[in-house]
Amino acid sequence: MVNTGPGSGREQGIRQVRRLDEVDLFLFSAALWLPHRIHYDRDYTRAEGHEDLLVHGPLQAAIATEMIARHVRSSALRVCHISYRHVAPAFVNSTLAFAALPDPEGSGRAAGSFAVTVGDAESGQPTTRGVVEVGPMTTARQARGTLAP
Amino acid sequence: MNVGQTPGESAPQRFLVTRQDIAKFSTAIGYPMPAGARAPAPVMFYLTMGMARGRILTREQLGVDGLPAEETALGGRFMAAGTEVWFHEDLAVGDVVTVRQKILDDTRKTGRHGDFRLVTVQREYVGEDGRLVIDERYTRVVR
Repeated sequence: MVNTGPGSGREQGIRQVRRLDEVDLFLFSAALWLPHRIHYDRDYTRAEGHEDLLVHGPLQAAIATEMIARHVRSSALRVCHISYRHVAPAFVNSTLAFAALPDPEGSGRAAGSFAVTVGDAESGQPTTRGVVEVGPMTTARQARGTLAP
Repeated sequence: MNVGQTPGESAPQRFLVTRQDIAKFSTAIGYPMPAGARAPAPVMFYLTMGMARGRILTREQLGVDGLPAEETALGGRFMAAGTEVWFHEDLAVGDVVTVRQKILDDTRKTGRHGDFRLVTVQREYVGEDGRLVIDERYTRVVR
């Protein structure tokens, strides 16, 4: 996995770029005990009509969500709601750009809202879009411990 | 674990959140393992209990695509379409969670690439005290 590291800034939002390879796909499948073949068997995946091995939609969502969660933690906020749609396939070894932009028009129920886009960094084709809402941490949550940045 | 449950039936699955499972998931999404004995798991750690519903099927129970044969038998190829999740509390090492699943919707549609089905399941993650910790809607495309 190539990770250029998180960027941040109110205007630019939160961003990072990752190239997910076969090892990344394997680790995610293994962590979920998910044997779906389209994530590790290239010949089978092409026989299903796909260009190449598919990056899990939930892996894209998990990376984007965690990127936001760690960004807002210093403000004593936590992710309270997510909504994602996987709008196009993401293929192994493509470079994916993750972007989360603060959305002032977001839900009034949450303390803050981010519009999330994951897409192929070279073609610009979005693969996953979503909204992540954050709210205050609970006292119990704050007492649990700290996380590495 | 309940081997051979029919999809859509809400047979509850019970899980203990372990440090090892959190470490595996954290590594898989490219973030360091949370520090602290009771540090919360990554937000989407619930996937480790939901996606395959924690079931360890026998080799004979898996279809040629690697998914449960009972799902493959429904016909078609499966892909993630989307998800919506409400996080009421965080998960941490030592938590015991019961996951219930049911099919909320199964709709036939026609798109640019032909007919397909959108299948939405609801998974509720409930703590030992009965409180709803996570409420998930997960939709897959079946072509």
